[in-house]
Amino acid sequence: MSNRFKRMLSKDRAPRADHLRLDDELSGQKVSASLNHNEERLRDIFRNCSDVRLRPLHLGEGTRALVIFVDGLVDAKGLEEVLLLPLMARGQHYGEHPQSSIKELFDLQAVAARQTELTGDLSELVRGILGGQVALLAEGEEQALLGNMSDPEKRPIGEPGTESVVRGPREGLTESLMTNISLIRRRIRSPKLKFERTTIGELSQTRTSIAYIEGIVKPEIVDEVRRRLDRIRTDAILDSGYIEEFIEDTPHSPFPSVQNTERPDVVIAGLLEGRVAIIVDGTPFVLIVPLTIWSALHAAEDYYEHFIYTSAIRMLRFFLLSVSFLLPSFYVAITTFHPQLIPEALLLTIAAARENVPFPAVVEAFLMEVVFEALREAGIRLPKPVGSAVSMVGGLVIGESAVHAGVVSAPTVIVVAFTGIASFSLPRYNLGLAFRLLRFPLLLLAGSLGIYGMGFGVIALIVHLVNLQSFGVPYLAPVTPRLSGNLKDIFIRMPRWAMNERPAFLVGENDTRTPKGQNPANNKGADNE
Amino acid sequence: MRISGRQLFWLVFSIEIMLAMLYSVSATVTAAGQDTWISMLLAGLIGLGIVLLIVKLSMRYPQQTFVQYSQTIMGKWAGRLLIVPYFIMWIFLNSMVLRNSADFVYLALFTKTPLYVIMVTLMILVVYVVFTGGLTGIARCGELMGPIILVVILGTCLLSINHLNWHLLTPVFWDSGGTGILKGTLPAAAFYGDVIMFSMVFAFMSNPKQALSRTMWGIALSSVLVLFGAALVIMTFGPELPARMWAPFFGMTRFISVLGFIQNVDIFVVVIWLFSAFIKLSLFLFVTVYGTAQWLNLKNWRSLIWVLAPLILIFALLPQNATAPIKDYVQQFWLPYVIPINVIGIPLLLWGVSMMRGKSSQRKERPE
Amino acid sequence: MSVRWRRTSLIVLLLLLMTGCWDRRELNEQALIFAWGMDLNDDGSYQATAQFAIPHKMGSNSGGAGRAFFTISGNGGSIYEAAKDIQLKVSRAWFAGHRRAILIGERLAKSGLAPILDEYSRNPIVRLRTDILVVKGISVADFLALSYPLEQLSASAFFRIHQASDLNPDLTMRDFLMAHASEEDCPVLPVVTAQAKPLSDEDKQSGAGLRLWGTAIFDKDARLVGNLPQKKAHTVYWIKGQLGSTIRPVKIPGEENEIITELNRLSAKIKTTVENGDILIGIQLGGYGILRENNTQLDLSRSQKIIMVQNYLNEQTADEVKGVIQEIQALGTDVLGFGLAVHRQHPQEWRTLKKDWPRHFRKARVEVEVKARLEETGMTGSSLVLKKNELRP
Repeated sequence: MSNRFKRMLSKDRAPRADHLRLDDELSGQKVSASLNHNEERLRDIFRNCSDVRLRPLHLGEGTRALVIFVDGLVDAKGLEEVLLLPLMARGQHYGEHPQSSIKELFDLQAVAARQTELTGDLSELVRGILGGQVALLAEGEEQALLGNMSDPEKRPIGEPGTESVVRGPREGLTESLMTNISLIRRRIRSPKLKFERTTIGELSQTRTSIAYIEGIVKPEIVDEVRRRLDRIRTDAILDSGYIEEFIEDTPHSPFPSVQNTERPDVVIAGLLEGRVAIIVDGTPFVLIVPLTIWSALHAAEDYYEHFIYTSAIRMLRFFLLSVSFLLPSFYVAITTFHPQLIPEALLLTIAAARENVPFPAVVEAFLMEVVFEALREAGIRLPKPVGSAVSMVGGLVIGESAVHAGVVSAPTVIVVAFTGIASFSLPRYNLGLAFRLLRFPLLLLAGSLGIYGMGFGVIALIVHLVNLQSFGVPYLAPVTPRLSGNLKDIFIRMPRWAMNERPAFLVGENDTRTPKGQNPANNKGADNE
Repeated sequence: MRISGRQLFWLVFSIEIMLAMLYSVSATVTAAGQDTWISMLLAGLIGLGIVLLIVKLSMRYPQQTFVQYSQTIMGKWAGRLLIVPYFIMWIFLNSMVLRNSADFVYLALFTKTPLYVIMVTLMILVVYVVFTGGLTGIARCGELMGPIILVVILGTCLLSINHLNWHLLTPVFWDSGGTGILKGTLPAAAFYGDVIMFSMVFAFMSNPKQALSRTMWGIALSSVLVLFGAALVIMTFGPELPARMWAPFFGMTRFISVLGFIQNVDIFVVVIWLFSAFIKLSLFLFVTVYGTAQWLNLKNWRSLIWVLAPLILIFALLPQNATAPIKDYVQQFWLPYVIPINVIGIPLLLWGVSMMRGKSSQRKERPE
Repeated sequence: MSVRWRRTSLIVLLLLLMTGCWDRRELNEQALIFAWGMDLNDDGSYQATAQFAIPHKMGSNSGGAGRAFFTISGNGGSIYEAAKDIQLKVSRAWFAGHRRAILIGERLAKSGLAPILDEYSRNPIVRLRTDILVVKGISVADFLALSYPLEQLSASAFFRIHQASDLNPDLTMRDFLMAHASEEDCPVLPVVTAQAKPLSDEDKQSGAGLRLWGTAIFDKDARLVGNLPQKKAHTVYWIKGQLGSTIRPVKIPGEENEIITELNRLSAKIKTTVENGDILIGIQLGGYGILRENNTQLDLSRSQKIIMVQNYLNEQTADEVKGVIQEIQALGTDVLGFGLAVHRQHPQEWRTLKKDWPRHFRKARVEVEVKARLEETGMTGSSLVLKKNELRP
């Protein structure tokens, strides 16, 4: 046994060098002075890459040069007008500097690209080209000029598909990293807002940005995020979900420790509370850490609507959360273990409905829950017009015919339907998923031990949650441990002028966000006299 | 592992409330009749006195647990010898609480399910939290469940208001007299004796100065609630019936009926009881395991769980029927031995010796 | 380590689950009992009767004709044996958690309820809020088999009739147990009755004269010693402070017909004095009256007439209450709470009095004062049906 255990441990060895990594293949190689050699080398590297264009040209005074770029990633018109034309006509413009080199071009900032840099490193050059930059090599030069003229295709900014609001900003994040950063920057015009760049994925070289507001965020959390991102070794990142799985605190828990959102205002609200956002190129879903479970009750709109209404809605959500988790098992437990709990008239109705049903209540509820999940899944996957047909057929067949045929009882259908509606009403989809998944084991517990089984399940869940952490922040904070003295933004939302501090469990110093004494009732001023 | 003052308060509250609420009323009513509430008041005061003794003693050595400072005070070997009665108490208290909780759940909810199933499942939960969370996890559970326990108890009391008869509390004092009231105080006060378990917990306080006030508040709140609960029980059932009932407060919740619809809310009391029993058991298991590890000088206290938890389970399975554990245990074990020796005797002795040694012992402790 | 630990605990849990389901019982595997009857047979054995609901005859989609319940009786030497005998005749395990009425035969009540009450308070599933009723003039089994047109289950009918008469029906069991356990009080139970056999089919359908008849008085051994019809029973509950409202006719001297008043917000105060073992009990009853019917020629638009009616009301009610109290005193059973009052007001004397309380109760002197106030006379002053010359000034 111990041997097996040791083997398990030894599998956890250091990450192996990957031969697909660009840096390993080209490490240490330099741009040579011979343009021919360089061209040969690059043609070899980009063998069969039909989208990479190598365009030889002569600079103004006749020096041979080579422009390399990826077709489609760069602004073609700009390339012609800004780079190629002036370079070829350079002799006329810069005639007084016949010895000018690429270095000089760079020093003089004579290339009209958005951003230019010099590199002598081959791997850096290749990476730049693939990142959408235009490379310029010249005969006899050991350095290449990289000009940023990237202009990839992007989706226009639209309304986010998830997290819709009635009132509030309607812009959604897009797949483009730069667009997303600009959407955030536009709302926080402060140099305190930082975007740190990293690249993840050996093949995909996905650009990723860590965003935080200096002075609000706890430096430990940023360090932790950096550390966890640096640890990732994989071939490609296609969505922020890939990253989420690498940086989670407790990978085996169904509860997420990372929040994702498609809304720039949610990202910013998180940053202002001292959280850290991870923006990944190629996906509109930005990750926000740390996450606490209470955000399952919080929607973006909560902060835009009136606080009394919002507080009421939050209590409703809290109730619905419990319903989506507990209702099916509660139904099974009380009908099969403790019928004395049901008021007499209701009991007789349920008993009448159950009279000819062939399944035990727990099996019946389990089947119906599975059918419900199947309907939901089918509705999402199918194309929209077919999807509605599925829900029609599902609703009619399951809801009407099955009850009429006596295969399932009407109360079970009602319970399952209400549970479904309740689970849809939670604003955080990934947290709702956890509760939706956990209601199945709870259903089994309730079916075997009744209310006691439910109590068992709930206590086990509480123990699990109490032990969870997200980036060093306890998952149930600030309710337990009570780190800040108040709960102004958990079960209810206090008005803006009363939420004076940032959440203490996230923020180190600088915790005042709204100075006190702004209650409009006390500030009516002269017209009150 | 650190716990805050607020967490200590909720731990004390949720550990003391349920057992006293359910089981002390019956024994006290037998002796004190309608004056039970006076007995409960006195019992609460006695509970506060015990807290004062234990906290004052523990605060002389705020960085040490009971096992450690008993050795600091009495020397290595005498100190260790003093822990022997505590070790016995820990094991028995654990198994009795486990047995009581399982019995209660069994009687309230089940007829055919074997008792051991309830005990084993309860033990799994307890081991789960002690192993994965330690004291921090237990304290957080307490902080989360304590308010729920409080709300449900207050709710039950509120809901049972509509059929109260104030006259049932009269005549005051005449029937039972001083002796009756005092006789009733004893079984009620005995339930607060297990606050001695906290002598192992104070060392984990992040702010030891709060230990006294928070423990006092916890005991005060639970004894006030027990007092009100007992008064409500008597106003519902009179001074005769509760003495013959197995858990009068539970009987009262079964009696609730509001609008003819909110009925049989006793199931929620069972769930709350489960919460309280869970916290109580896990803290006691933690104290037992951690204390034993310190006693035996073991580094890895967690591994002791796998020895002690099965032992506790076996002891809990031994008694024959449901009335034996609670009544016999209190009468034959808790009242004559544990209260005078473990709760009052040894702490007083330790305090006395520590006072005599005075500052020298405190100075010795500093460098560590 | 932690993965392995988690895996083992999961396996243990699953094993527990698979062997589980000991207490699971589906609703359609249970027979729901809504009323329970106990009576004594001629040979001294018990007869138990249970009223079961028939679920598929209930609910909205039933539409089926016929009764939604059936009754089954069984005999045995103890309650438990009689119950076992019933189980032999029922296809499903029964569930008594919704039993809201327990009916006791008159014969059983006379022989004493103490031996059968224990079961009803011990079972944790059974509610403590149960209505216990004594059945008079008809056997319990026949009584439970009656159907009632308004309610699907006749068990609900017993309960609701009791409720509609402004009493707390679901407290009778607790009150009975409390009085039985106390050293002062004697218990009472409501009495229901129905037309005795033979019944025509029509009678069975229409409830066959099902009615709340009055109150049964028990002694300290829980034996039935006397019955009070409903009108007198109201007096008892008024004195005990458990009555919501009552209807009182007032006779006016010189008038042929009566004035009918309804008294609400009833109150009762008992003041006791103990002197050398002599007990004087002063009862002060209060209430607020509404004039419901005026069949006399009085013109009640004048306030002194109303005061006159009020005085007559108080006098006549006091006499009547006194009569009822004397009747109860003759039985020697303190169902009126006099003992409790003496105990509370004279705890020291009570210690000697309690040893022989029934005797003291019998010879206690009782004074009754009624202070009801007539506040409303309805929408008219004098009667509208009378001609002007018929009105008395």
